[in-house]
Amino acid sequence: MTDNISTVTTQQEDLATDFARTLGCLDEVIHQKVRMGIMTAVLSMSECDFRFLKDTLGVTDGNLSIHIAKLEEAGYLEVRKEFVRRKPHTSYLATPAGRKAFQSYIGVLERIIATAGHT
Amino acid sequence: MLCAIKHMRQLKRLTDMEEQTPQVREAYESLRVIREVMDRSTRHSTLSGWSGIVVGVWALLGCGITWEMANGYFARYSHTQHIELFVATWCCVLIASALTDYVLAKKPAALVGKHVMSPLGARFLQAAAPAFVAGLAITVHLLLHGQLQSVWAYWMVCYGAAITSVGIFSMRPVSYLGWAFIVAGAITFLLPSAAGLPMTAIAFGMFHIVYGAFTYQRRQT
Repeated sequence: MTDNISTVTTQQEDLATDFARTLGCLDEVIHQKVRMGIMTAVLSMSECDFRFLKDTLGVTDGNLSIHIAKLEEAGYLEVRKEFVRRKPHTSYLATPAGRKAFQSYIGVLERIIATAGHT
Repeated sequence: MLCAIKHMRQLKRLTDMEEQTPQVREAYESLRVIREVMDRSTRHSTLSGWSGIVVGVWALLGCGITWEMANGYFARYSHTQHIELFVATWCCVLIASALTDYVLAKKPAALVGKHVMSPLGARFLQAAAPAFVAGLAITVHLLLHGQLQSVWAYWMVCYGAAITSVGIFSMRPVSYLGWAFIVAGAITFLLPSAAGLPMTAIAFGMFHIVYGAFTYQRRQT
């Protein structure tokens, strides 16, 4: 009986430790609503421009610029500038590091939910 | 004493877990936001509300002409003429549908700075192509063997497979539309061949119109 209680307690402790460790793995750069939206849109579309991101996420120009800059700084977003019909056109693409970071971010979210389901 | 310390530690861990519950809620919320942004990002690459409705109308027109071939004005035509008219009608329906979608999807896509032929659009084409090619091969086979009366169910199943593949990268209703076509095709296989054309009118006509109206209403809200 005592052994059983002790096993259950150890399991609960392991799960709690695992849960805390999983929470610590959340990427702070991506874990913000607008930045998460930017990464999702860019990865869904392969590439998209400022106007598209603004329309999809429903944010202001200034707010979007700040978050794009943060993702760029982190090396998750690549800016491509080109001329389309003689007009400058800026589009955004996810870098391999950004793609990897987003995948592991989703993985962490799933682990948080799975771990919480076990407790 | 040691036991008390252990229990206190355990209690603290459990309290921590309670405190972390909002973070679990946050994880669910994050996944919901991701799904929502994915839906919104891809909406300009799939059938828009109006294009769905117009494509449905083209399909109903095609069904009407095919019905006339057997029962109405075109009934006096020879068998070869029937086949030529059948091929011409459905090629026109296909071209008109593709053009409608291009014209009606181009405008809203351009409004948000996105081009119809985006990398995602290319991915959609890649996903849909195998089922379309399979449908074309089956149609040619049935045409050559004079079994066109059973073509309808194959079209529904192949079109449904194409749409379901596109649905993997797009909004959930696109997948539902694909599955509706597959189910309609499976039912048509079981029905007598005379039911093929009415089923096609229901699937290619009504399903598109219902989907278009639903998408239009969804985007207005």
